[in-house]
Amino acid sequence: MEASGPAEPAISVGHLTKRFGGLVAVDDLSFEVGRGQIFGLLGSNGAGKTTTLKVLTGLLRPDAGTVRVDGVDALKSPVEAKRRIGFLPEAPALYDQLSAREFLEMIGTLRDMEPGRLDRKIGELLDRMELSEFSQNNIGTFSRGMRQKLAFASAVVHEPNILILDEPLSGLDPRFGKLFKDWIKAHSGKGGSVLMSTHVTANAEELCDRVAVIDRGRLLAAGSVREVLEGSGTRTLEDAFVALVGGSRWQRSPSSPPTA
Amino acid sequence: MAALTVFAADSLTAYRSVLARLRRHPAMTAWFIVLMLAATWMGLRMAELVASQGLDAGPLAIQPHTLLLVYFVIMMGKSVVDTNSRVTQNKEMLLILGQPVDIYSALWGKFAYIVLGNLAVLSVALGTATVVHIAFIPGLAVPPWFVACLVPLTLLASAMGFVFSILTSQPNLFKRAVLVAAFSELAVALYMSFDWLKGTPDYLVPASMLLFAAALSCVPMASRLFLSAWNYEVSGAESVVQRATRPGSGRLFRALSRWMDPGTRELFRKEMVINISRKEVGGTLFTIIGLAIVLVYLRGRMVEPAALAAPLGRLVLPLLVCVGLYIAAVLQFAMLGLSSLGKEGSNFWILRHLPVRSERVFQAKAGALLAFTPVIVLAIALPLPVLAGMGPEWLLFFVLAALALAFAFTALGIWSGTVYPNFDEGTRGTPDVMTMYLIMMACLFLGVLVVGLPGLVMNYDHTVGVMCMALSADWSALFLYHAIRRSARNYDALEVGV
Repeated sequence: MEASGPAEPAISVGHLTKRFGGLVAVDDLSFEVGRGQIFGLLGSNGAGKTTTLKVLTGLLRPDAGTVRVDGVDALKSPVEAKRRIGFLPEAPALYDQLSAREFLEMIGTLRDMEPGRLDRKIGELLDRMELSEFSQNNIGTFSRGMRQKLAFASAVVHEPNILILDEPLSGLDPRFGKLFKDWIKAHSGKGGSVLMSTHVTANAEELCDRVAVIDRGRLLAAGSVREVLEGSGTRTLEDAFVALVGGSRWQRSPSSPPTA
Repeated sequence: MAALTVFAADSLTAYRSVLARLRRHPAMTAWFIVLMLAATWMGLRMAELVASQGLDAGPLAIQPHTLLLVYFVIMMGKSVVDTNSRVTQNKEMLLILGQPVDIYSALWGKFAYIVLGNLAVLSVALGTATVVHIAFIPGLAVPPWFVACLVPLTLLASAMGFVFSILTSQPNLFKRAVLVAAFSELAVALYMSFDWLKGTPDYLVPASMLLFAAALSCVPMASRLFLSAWNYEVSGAESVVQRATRPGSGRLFRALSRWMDPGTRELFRKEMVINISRKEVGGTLFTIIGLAIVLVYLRGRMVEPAALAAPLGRLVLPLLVCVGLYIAAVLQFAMLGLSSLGKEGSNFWILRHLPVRSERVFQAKAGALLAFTPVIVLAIALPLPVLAGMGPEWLLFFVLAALALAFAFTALGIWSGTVYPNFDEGTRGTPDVMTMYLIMMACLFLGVLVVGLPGLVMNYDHTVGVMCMALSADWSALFLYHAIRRSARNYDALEVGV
């Protein structure tokens, strides 16, 4: 197993490319997520955000490029890399026939957590997510928001240093949206790193230290929110996003500019 | 009008899906047709042989009306499965239920689709049988009432399967039991009328039609119960207050998983809970126990083996047990193994993002299937030999044979499930019918190797035969070990779609 030095970024992606037949979903993408940083991957629907996160979490294999997670080569040692992350997919499908507690027990045990610690952690998480009352109920009976909270609990149950979150705030009511945001900030405050994808620029502006804007799998801009705003000559991240994404399409087909 | 729209949409979808499947595997389709013709020829040839010696001749006294009842049971089972996947457990029904459409109309459309599917199967079967009959076995006289009965029985089986699917999905156990028991009387009526009318078979067609009319009148009644069934199956909305009761916390589970490391035990528990909750194992076990009853019944109806010609007399009982073991093992190990990866469906991401060795995942899947081996031993391997007074060496032979088939078919099923994975939740991960058919054929070949060869030795020397069977079980376990490793490799190469 490779050791991670303090200077090593939490996540390092280099020249990542992923194709599906003729479609290039991720095209020569490179970025780094530093320690204690909240990094936002911004892009429209189909921009390649989810594909990138799936490659990082071992759900897809890239056609080219490198991925290092906490200093571990995620392509050569996927199991070691997976130990270091907590992952929340966009629309998490869960085992409907398991109860919430059973599901978290399974996740924690498979992450080699000691039973006593796991039990305490599950109790604490279910309490914070207001799911204690339903801990013995089948997940199949849960609403979308409850599922999202349970999936989030499964991503953090082993207290990972690195969180990879795909649209973490979708499907949540404002109260839990705030809880998740506070959680993400607290995680970063304790030195943990977060890589999150979103197409809601307001969330990125509020939470992220650094952002990367991607479109059609290509990196259009990266840096702190301020740097991206300055680079695009706009005042809000939403305007910057529209300028960058719209601009890239305009450059591809100058003969047919987008019309209002 | 709504019924017609629903029916047309479903029929068109099914037609296109069949067409796409045929185009995707043209060689397999051709092979499937050859196998179907060969199987039909074998069936008709056997019927000709039996008919030439009189209907009651041979080791099993099976009459034409018994065959019709067997056909009815199979068709009804198919209708239940089709209704479950297309209607009662189908999340896409939400799209229809959300429209301003009368629920009865929508369900009549669905019912018509189930009927059409069954009639299509019957047409293909009859067409194939007619071709084989005319071309190869023109001497076989098939009574017209036998063929005529197939149509009303198909209609009756469709109606009963449709209603049973809705009734067995009711959230309240007591209500479910009462309704199923009440509706089952139609099946009893069918059995009794066939028994009474076997001397005057021309009356079987009107009798079946009358029963079909009765079953059809129950369809609207079942439609009234549909919403509660659908909600229960799809979202479990009515079971929110129910606490989960788990086989995983029982003593049996602890005993079974004692030797496992904590991670594998968790995966094993997940497999057991999901398999049992999804009623797959329940359905298979129900079939296995039904099979055991049929075997014992056949033994009771059988001409005394000693009265049969020399090789047949000695072989008929072991063969009957082996056929039972083959069917049970195919259902419990090969078929459930085949869907063991595909049934993960959209949950596939969970295991893939966790730091778990893939071998562990498949060890747990294999373990959850093999945990039910004792049921097959107790239901199939032991009762018939005990009733027939076969010696202890035969009992040991059949127990070992059950183990060997369990290991070999689990290996084949799980490995094939990673080669032909199907993540379509509508079909619960079961590959298409052609793949299933090929796996069944492969199981037959494997079964002959694993049990047939030691069985040949057993015919000459019991001690050596039992030792050969033990060796075969050992090799099957080794086969399973390698299949798990290969499956893990295939699994690692799979990608989660975007």
